[in-house]
Amino acid sequence: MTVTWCAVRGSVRYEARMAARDRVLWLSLLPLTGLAVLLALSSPAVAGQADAAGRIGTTVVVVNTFAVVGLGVALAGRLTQHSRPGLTEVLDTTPGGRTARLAGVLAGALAVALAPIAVVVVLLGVAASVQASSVAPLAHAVLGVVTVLAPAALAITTFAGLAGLLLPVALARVLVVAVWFWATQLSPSIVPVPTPTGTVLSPLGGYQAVAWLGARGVWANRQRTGALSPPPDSGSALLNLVLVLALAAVFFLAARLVMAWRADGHGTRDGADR
Amino acid sequence: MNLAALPGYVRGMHDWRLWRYEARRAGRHLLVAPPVLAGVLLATGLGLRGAGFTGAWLAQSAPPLVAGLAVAAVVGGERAAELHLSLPTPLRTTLGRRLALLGAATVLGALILAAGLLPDAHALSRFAALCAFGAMLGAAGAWSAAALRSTAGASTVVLAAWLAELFVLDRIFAAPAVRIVAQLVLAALFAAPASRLLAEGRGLIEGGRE
Repeated sequence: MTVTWCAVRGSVRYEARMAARDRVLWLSLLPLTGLAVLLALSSPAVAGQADAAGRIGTTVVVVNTFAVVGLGVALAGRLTQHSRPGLTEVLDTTPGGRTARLAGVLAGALAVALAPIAVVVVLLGVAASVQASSVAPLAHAVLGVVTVLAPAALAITTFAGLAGLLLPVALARVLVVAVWFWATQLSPSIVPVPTPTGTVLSPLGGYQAVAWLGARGVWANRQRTGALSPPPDSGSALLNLVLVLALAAVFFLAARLVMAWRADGHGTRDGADR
Repeated sequence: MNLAALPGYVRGMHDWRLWRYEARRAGRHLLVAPPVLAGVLLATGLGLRGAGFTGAWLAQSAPPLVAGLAVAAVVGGERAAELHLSLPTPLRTTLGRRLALLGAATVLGALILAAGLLPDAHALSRFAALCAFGAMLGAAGAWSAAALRSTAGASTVVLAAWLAELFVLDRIFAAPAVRIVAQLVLAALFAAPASRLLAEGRGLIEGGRE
């Protein structure tokens, strides 16, 4: 087992344990999760679907829209905390590399923050499965957590971490909310600017929900046409998934570069970094 | 908890320098954000008359979110709570000054946005709606930051309150006047426990979290 892998595993476990013990992270996400479930259950888009498994697929999209943005808001300051003057130098003396540590910090906190949302979605799947006497809704709920919620959470968390490094954290949170709704719900027919909504670049996970979870076609390309808005099928859903994960990787690497630049003594701010 | 000011104690700062200092402690970027956002919304035409549903929606909902997140950052961001608790000026007064500055910035932003609708009478209702919604989210931010002792946690609660207002309460209280009254009542319900927690002050000491 390499040192890097040990460092990643160690920091993920440490961060997850600390975040779970601290309780603030997952407690503060409960109101948002409850609201997202309430909006999903009362949504005509969900209730309008006859098929129980399709209803869970649409629920996953609604929960993704309203709850996952909270992860970005909650975790926007994580990387800033870990780049405080002095702390980087101390951690640099340990055998684990900076990239491994950074990945561990984000992944550990993200796992704890995503847990209440994932649990609620799976419970909804269990309830729908019992009601419909079929295993399909539960399978859709689990698949939804893996293919829709987790990649979207990775993308918004890495973006928030990067924004928190470049801006004061409170303003980064505003930017995270604005960018999230711009990228998932505001299509060009609503706002007069180009948006990723309805394309394979959107972290909404609409393509996965339509192709694999039985949601209605409108969630995928939002009646847009063009090279970036192909018709929903397994290929375009996989492309959406891969592109969102690639975006998360780009944001993560950019944050890594900013932290390396700061650690070399450029642009460090002391004190008021909220 | 706070030390009483002894007879020989001379307050070093009691004029405009105090407010300049508190503005710096609150974060100048947070004080500048509301008027700048209002200016951007007007400059892009989204805050003007005839901007359509999206523009009106953005002008009505974005500034209160900024106010709520800023209050959460100010109340949750004081790192020297222990030090403040040892001073004759109560921590609640100090944070109250910073929040007053934030409130003034938010009202200024609301005035700028309301001016975008002039001479229409809707300007007044937009101003009142922005102030009431901002007060509600600000109070929610102050309470959650004091109760959770965490800016990150409080920001998530503010986001939940913002979405709840836009997607649930707006449907229940459809009439604008009723909505404003409901928001002010909610603001008072959040502000009272927030004020009590900040007056106690002790609970803030364990802070140091982001």
